[in-house]
Amino acid sequence: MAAEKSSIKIITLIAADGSVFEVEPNIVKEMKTVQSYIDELDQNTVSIPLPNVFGNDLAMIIEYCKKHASEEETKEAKEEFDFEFVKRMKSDDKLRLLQAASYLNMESFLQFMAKAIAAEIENQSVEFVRDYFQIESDFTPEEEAELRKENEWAFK
Amino acid sequence: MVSLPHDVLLEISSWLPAKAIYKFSSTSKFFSNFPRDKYFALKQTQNSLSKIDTCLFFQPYLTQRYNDNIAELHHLSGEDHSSGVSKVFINFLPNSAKILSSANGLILFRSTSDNKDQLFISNPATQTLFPIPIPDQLYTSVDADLKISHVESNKLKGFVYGAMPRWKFIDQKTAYHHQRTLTQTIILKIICFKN
Repeated sequence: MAAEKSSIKIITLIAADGSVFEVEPNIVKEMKTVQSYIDELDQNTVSIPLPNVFGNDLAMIIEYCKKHASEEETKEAKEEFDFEFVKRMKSDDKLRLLQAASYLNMESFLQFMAKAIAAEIENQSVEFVRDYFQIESDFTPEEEAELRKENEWAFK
Repeated sequence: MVSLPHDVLLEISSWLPAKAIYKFSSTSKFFSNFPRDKYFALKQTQNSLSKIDTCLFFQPYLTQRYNDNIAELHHLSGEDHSSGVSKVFINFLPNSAKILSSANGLILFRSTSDNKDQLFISNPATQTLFPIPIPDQLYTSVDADLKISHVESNKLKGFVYGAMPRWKFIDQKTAYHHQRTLTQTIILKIICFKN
């Protein structure tokens, strides 16, 4: 990592619940929010508070980043990991991790979570989606009925 | 749970197949804009093409083309809904439709009614179809064979077809170009040959 700031060896991330994670610089490369902190400071160790991310979620994100940053792992092993990673999550976990990814400004992890959520809602009802994303309908009952009729084929 | 920002909702929806996007357009006004949003359509197309979702058609060989045509769609991935196109989508095609070619989720089919052959390009996900010009000789000979080839480059996506026995070099002057926006993102350029 010649391009990396050589002075920084360890980065300390502090989650919303106070739990502390010590990681190497290459692990947080994808976290643009964290990266912008590091660029501003010039110290051997950096401590970064992340008030919008809980410890459990941060642990999962770091696990994902470690796996994907590893050069020894094959593409197949990473895909297998991704599959299992999503499989063990509940619906709410996915949403929380997506929000964390959005806050940490992690492009590819955000895409990965968005894809997992899309797969989850694909065969669900409109009501499920409203409930899941906390969306209030802003249609009049007539407008909604008309739209449903227009797209009738999509409900079959 | 805090509600998600619009750009994140857009990101999620861009990973959905067309059918689910139309279904969820009744969720709210924001969702109802997706099918008409060019940026969204482009993003959704790119995401769809990055997924492995190959299908194949089974279709009986017909000597009598006025028969009811039963074509079947099968997914290689084994997942019924991976493309969002249901197996019975074929029901919306005319009875005499014969599928000639397919690429990037669009199908090209030939349909005969009132002793006249017509070619259509169809998007099964949105259940829309567009007639396209047909080589002159097909108007007079319904038995003429069509040769279909699928072409694709950065600027051009489409089917090339002709009713001649062998492919030959076509210069720009004799080829008739026809452009049409079929989906919001794919411009089809149809070249129809005159011999």
